[in-house]
Amino acid sequence: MKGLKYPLLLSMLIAFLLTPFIQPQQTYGEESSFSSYTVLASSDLVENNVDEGFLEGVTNWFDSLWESIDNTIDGVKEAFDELFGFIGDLFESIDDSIALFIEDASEEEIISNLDDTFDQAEEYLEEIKDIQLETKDNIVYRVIREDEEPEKGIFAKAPEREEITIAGHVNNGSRPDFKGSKYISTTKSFQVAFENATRNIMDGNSSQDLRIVQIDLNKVTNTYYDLTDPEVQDKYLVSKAGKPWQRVRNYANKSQELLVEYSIPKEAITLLGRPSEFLGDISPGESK
Amino acid sequence: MDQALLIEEFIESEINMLTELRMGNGLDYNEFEKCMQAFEELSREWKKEDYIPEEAVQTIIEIYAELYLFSDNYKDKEKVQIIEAAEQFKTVREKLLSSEDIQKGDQNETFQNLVTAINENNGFFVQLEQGKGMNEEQFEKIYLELKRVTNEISSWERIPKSIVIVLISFYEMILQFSKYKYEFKMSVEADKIYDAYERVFAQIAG
Repeated sequence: MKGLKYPLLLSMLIAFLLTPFIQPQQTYGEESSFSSYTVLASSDLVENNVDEGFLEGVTNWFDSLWESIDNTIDGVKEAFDELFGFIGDLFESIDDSIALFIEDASEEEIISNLDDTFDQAEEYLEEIKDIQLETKDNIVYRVIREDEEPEKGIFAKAPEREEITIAGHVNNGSRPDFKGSKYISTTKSFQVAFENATRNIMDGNSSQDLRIVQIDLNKVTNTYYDLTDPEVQDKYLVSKAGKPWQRVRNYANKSQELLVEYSIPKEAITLLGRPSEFLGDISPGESK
Repeated sequence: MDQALLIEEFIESEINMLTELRMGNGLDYNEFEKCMQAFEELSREWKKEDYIPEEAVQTIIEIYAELYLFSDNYKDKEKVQIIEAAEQFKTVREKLLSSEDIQKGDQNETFQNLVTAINENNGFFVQLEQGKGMNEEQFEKIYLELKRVTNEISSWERIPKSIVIVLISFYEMILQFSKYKYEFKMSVEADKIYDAYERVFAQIAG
């Protein structure tokens, strides 16, 4: 009995020591090659040729690992190909739009076609977002005034007016006489930015062509407040009595508003340009 | 319709109407009519009351000034329509808050101090409306009293009409700002009024 006991214990010990080599494959792989390897290795270990089974297993493991890395690289390549495809489609759509402007079309037709083009562009942007590139979640937009210089950064209009609350900024910020606050308004929605860049809602929706900048929140160093976030709304968009201030919440939701305190560093800003630069003339005959 | 539902409709339609105006989409007549109808019905119900349910007070206070301010963002016919809508609300509101119907509500000592501070120097709002500018010293005194009143009433479920009338005057200081800036061309005075308005706005609204 003693003679039988020691080889058995030895086999169990070897099996135990080899377990870590098998574990990573189990967590990494999901296909049958890994699971079948595990089964094979286990039976080889118990039966006869331990060394051969071990080396074969390690070789297979490395093969599978390289295969997986290749697959991952292919996946990334595919995602980028898709992304470039979408951008290509987007430019094609813009070209179509420009062609429409050149043709002799009525104002209504032009507006309708522009709407279609914009919807299409938005769809492409949505599809691009679906690729889940990490930074997309942290991108906001701002329509900048002519006196702002994005290459130097963006600065709050009145940083000294500390007493202006977030709710006060949202409520009064859309008025022509607003004196500003320590907050800088941005929007999470490209569509909102586009609309604000092309029509002046403070002047009877007159045509305008202001610059849009894209801001990477990963590079924003000051505090910012996503006013569409219910938790942020519960903290800052409340009435004097501490109740939800629904009107101001609606304003923030509709504009997809996000406020940044004091300043936005130049490193976080990418100038996208004026809508006319990427969609052609917006309202022919009107000043840009 | 049940009063709670009417209040809900009144508040919701006002919010929707103002949100559309803010987005540059013009006056939403459907929301305007819903809001006006609800307000008229509520006004009839509250005509003989000395108090107004707290949840409706903010809307009553802000509706005229907000509509009027948004009218500045529009031109021509659209502007006129918004001003007309604002005036319609004002008419209903004036009937609701007409002083002969208010029997009590100004018994509260804190509120009395506020009224006294406002009435000094021939009346703070009277002077303001007559284009005589803003008495800053008096405003600081009034502001202290206003803070006390707003803090006290923030937990009340019903607000006396007399307090609502005073709060409207504060909220509508922003309209005085426009008058001073564009009509009277008194930009320094207009600036003072604007700053004062933002402080009272934070006290009244949030």
